[in-house]
Amino acid sequence: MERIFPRVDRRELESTRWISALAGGAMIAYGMKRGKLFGGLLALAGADLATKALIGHHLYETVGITSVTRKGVGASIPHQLGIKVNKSVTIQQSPSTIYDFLKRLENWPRFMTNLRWATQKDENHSRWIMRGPENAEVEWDAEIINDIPNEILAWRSVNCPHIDTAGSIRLEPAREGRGTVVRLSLQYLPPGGSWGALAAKLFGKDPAGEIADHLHKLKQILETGESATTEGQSVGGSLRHRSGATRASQSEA
Amino acid sequence: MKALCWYGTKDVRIENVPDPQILNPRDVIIRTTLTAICGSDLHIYGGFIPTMERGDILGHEFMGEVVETGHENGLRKGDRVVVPFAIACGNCWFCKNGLTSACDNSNPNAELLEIKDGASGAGLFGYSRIYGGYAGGQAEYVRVPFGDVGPLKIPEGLSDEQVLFLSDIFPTGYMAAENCNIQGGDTVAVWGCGPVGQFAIRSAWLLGAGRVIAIDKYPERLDLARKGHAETINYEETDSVIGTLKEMTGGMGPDFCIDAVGMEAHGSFLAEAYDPHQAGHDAGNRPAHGASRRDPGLPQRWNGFHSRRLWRIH
Repeated sequence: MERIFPRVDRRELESTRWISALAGGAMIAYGMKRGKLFGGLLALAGADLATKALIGHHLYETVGITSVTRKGVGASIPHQLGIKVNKSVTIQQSPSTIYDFLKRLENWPRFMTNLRWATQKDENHSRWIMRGPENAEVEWDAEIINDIPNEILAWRSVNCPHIDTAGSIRLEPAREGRGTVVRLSLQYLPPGGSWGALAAKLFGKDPAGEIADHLHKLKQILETGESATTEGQSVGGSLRHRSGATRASQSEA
Repeated sequence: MKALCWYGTKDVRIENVPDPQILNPRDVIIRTTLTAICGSDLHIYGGFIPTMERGDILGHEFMGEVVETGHENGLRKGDRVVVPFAIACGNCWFCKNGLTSACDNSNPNAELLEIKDGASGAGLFGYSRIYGGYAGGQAEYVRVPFGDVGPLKIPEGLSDEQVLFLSDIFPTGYMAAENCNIQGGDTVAVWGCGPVGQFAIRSAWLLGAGRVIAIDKYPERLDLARKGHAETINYEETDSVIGTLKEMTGGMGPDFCIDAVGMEAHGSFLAEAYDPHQAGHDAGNRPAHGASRRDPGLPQRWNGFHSRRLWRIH
């Protein structure tokens, strides 16, 4: 099953919104008059209906939480929902060097640290295996929806109920001698909507930060041939000691 | 190997730690022959620098002999080198334009420094996670990333003691003097005669100053300044440093003032000199800095990073 992006408009029909408006208004008024916990909950439910009357979406949807539909969790990313990340970086290489590097999928795990591997399925489709939370593997297929050599590469996810994403990389020559501006635009529905994204950020797993880190690594590799690291370097403290011969004992041997 | 490790405020220990390994193709490993303690190490020792972690190896002024190289390198085993404290890739726009301390690629934790300062600069040796988290040079061996870019090969006939200060402190004093844009015959006043001040005095002469006046209170430091051909003022023996300077210069005052008083010292004197004089150049109140554009052999431009990427004025 292949789904199309953007998909079905799930907003409430304009012609029936007046019902939500009336019911919501009445529930807010009665709830506030009654007060206490029940009244408060009633007013909240009323507010939900009122929001639906105004913009066609449930209140909770406006913060990115999507309801379970017959197509599975988060079956689409309505344009005003989900998380959008725009990030750009200037790389001291020509657009063609960067485009060629990105077209070889085996290069991607070098800068995308949560990617196990990616492989080409046919001309426009590829399979991606990502490391999800708790080291779980998440597989999804990407379909190229726009490919202009040395200018743009755009894709969307297909065939995976858990991954809903679409993105593009645009390459623009920067001013004289300054290489290429790489603009990444990514839209996705995080688990738990924007509240889930906020929670992830608070606990140090901010996807937008991760994406910035991946772009930085891409720049490092394309400019210097390697990605700066301190992993595996010397450090004091018996807890973090790695076993291994010292330079002195090596020379004795 | 033995290394000096940080364990907390005023708690550093010499420890046995694993030897460094080549981690990237452009790395080299250096056997340290001489290393120095920087005033900036005191910021870490005193607990002023965030994101240090227990066990981190300190030190960013060091030199030594290359004992191992990665696949791709301009250095060879046995080369004697002095290592600049800021790590530079040599490929990014900043490096290509001589602003190596603003290197885009050498700090693996650039995003953290961006949160703190708004932009990231180069990674540094032994100077906390936000500056890259690299193990430092107060150790028997050091891993030097981008070994083909930063380290300066030492020509025959120069001793370690003659070149060690190229790693940080000489360029720091030099850049303070360079920022003055000294025209022939200008009078330069230098507040503070510690190591940075001493190098600022000598750099001012190198750049064509006509007079250099040094201000401090410690007799041995003032002696050293006089050995560098500076006139001196002991500020404890005068009512007004400004008044004395004006008397010495026929009422004009010095053309340029350099503040080389360390952060842990007794506050900055330069504030009193800002108004009546043309320019002031702070060499000593930030965690680290220094270097030179005119001499390609001094490839660190820390102050350049501060003005270029943080939009600060010195």
